[in-house]
Amino acid sequence: MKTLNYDLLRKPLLIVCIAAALSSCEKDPVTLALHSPVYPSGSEAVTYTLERVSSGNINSAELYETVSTINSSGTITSTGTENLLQSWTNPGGDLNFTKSSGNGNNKLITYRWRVNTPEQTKSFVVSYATRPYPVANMPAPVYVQGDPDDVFDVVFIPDTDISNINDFYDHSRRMISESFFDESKSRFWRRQYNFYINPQRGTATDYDQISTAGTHQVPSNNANLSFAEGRVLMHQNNLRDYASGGLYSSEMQNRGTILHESGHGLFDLADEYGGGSHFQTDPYPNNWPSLAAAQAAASDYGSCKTAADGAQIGSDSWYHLCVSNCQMITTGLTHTFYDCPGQYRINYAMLDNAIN
Amino acid sequence: MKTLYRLITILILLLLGIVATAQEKTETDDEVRARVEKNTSPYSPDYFSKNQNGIYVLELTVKEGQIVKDNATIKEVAGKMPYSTGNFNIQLLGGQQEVIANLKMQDPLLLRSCDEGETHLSYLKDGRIFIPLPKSNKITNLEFFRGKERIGGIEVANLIREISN
Repeated sequence: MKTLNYDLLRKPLLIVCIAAALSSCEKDPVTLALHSPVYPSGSEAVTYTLERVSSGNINSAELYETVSTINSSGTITSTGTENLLQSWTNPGGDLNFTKSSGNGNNKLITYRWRVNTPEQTKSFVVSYATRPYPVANMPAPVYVQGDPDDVFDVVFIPDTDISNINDFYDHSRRMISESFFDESKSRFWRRQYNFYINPQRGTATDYDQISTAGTHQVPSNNANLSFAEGRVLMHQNNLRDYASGGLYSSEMQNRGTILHESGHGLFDLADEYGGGSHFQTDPYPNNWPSLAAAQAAASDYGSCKTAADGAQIGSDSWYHLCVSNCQMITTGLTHTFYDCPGQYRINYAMLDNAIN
Repeated sequence: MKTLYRLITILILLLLGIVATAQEKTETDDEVRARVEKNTSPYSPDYFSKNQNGIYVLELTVKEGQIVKDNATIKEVAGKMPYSTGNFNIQLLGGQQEVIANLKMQDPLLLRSCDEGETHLSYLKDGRIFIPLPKSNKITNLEFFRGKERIGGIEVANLIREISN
């Protein structure tokens, strides 16, 4: 045996210690990078906002923007240079900047926030297209951050019943900020979503009228939306909404329905109300076929659940661990929250999607 | 002296193993997120115009609750396969009936309403469904399963041949 060199051992030990010390944890303030309108025309003013979700000091912040030109094939024909739009020192409240001149037609805008807090430097990079998007039959990226292979892609589809398309654009923006970025677990994963707006419309039907009105009429470019894990047909009229084959309908203003349906479509969560769709997904299910199985699984969710939380789902032969108004119980105007089993499942799906 | 070195080496390796195991078992949400973000590439504006980013989308007919090949169409579209999840399983078979891949998706036949009402679940009787497939000219047959129960299958060799040529 060769004489052991202690210097060789110091290095891996040091790496382990440094890795443990640097384990990533987002420090306060938690912030959201948003822009409005979410899908502006080329001449429309755009306001960039860094919204504080939690309290905490920001030492300084900078907002940068890059404006690129795309052609009808979606190819970048001219990549702009990154420009500093504004910087802040010790700002209070939310940070806002309005670019009043608009960005022009056939543009893809990328903005970047660099935020220095006493403990951490954070960066948010978001891209969006100006309207109209020049790539025919493809959904316009309106809030994209990651490679579509690694994140969850959600397409908002306008219904033929929408009388003012600007209402739809506004509700699309609010679906992002008031649903996906408002529920705490979904917000935690806010960098793992891309959002798009479809140029073609679909027509939602009422679940109780399927026998006469048929099922949802998909937009003419539906095949082109196959890359997306979530396709949301947003309508104006009051309907009994339903999902089929990854396409789900929702009233434009319903922040709860979209999160419930995303629980199914993106994360494979089962229903937690009586009469719903029950199955035991693997791993980290939120439904079990027996009370004993639900109780035994309680310890899989840290200290969040105990065996005493096990309960029957309505009068169905299925069981869950939800003790209050979990998102997979309910739909409608306001969202609630994903309970611990759902949260664990979301963590799993986010990781699985990114690494596979 | 050599024995002492060996013992120290073993102890250090054991310690490293324990630390690694402990970290794996107690990975916090923040640590999971750091791992996810490390494995997430940034958005590329020309993603959908890249030749290598394409998939096939098969449009099929549902007749009396069964998936049939009548009026089936296939087209190549931009993008990638969506995240594979759901209770509807599709087995992709090759020319020797070998399994090329298994896909999962939300059941395209299931009509599920989670809004208040008397019934929440039913199945599509007649209509059209879309099934994304990886761009492979080796696919000859599809087998459909709801959970583990086989509910049908179709031959797609001609369609695949038609589009891949």
